[in-house]
Amino acid sequence: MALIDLANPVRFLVFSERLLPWIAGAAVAVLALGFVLAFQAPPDYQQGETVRIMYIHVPFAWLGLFGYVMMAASCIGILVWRHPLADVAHKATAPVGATFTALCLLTGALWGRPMWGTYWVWDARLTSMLVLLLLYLGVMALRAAVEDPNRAGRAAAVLTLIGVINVPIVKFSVDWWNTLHQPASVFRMGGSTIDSTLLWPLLTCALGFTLLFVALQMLGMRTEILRRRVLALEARMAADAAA
Amino acid sequence: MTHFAFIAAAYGASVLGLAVLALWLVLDYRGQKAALAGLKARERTSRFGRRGSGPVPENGVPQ
Repeated sequence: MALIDLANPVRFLVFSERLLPWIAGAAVAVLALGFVLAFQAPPDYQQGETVRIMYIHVPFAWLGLFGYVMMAASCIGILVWRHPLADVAHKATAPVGATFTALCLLTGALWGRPMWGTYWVWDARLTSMLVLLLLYLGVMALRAAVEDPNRAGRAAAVLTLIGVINVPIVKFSVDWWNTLHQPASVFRMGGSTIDSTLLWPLLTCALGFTLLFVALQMLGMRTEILRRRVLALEARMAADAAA
Repeated sequence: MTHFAFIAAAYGASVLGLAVLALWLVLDYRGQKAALAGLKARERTSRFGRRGSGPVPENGVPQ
């Protein structure tokens, strides 16, 4: 089956019903392994034991950004093709991405207090991540505020595309401005600067959280498809009753 | 372990946050599934009722 064939709510429901338990199970297994590796890894020579917060903070940051990029990509499907599954994907991604972004900010604050001496600074990276969270919340609030689902979807898509300018700002803020936040150390020109004893637990946790993100988003999409069926059926029954 | 409280709080908050999100999604999914099943049953009943064909057959298929 070609990937494009899945861009159909009925096929997606069938496909995701089979796949979801496997993705969720794999997420739990990989995260369990990642946490074991994270707590067996040696402490960092500068951060000490607090480096263990990085094994969850960094994947949350990556996935917060990843979710927003996915939402932006689905906007093309909403605005150009008006594809219902693109709208479903957009709506389902927002709460998951917002949660991961909020957890990134929270775990970052809990790392910052012992390392920087403060929970929060108005640093370019921290501020742009906060803007990312506000964009997620704004998209969700806009959808909730507009009654017509088609208009709500298009309005949320436009807001998402306006906010996508924040994605490169988050990524390159540590290069463009003099920030307290450290520069990129995994995805950078010239390769990772992290020792393999710390890198592998980080990548394992990142894979586990990615699988969890996909599972939660897939469940959200299934729920949204069912919600739209309920609304359509209610409307049809109301029309039948009126006739 | 140094700064144990910060590490425990970070992991605890993350597990709690993700558990709340997962629970909310699962409950919402079950709610929509139940609502859809209820509506489908009501729709079948009302259609048969309008046709005057008596009670809904066990398998939901008109005779």
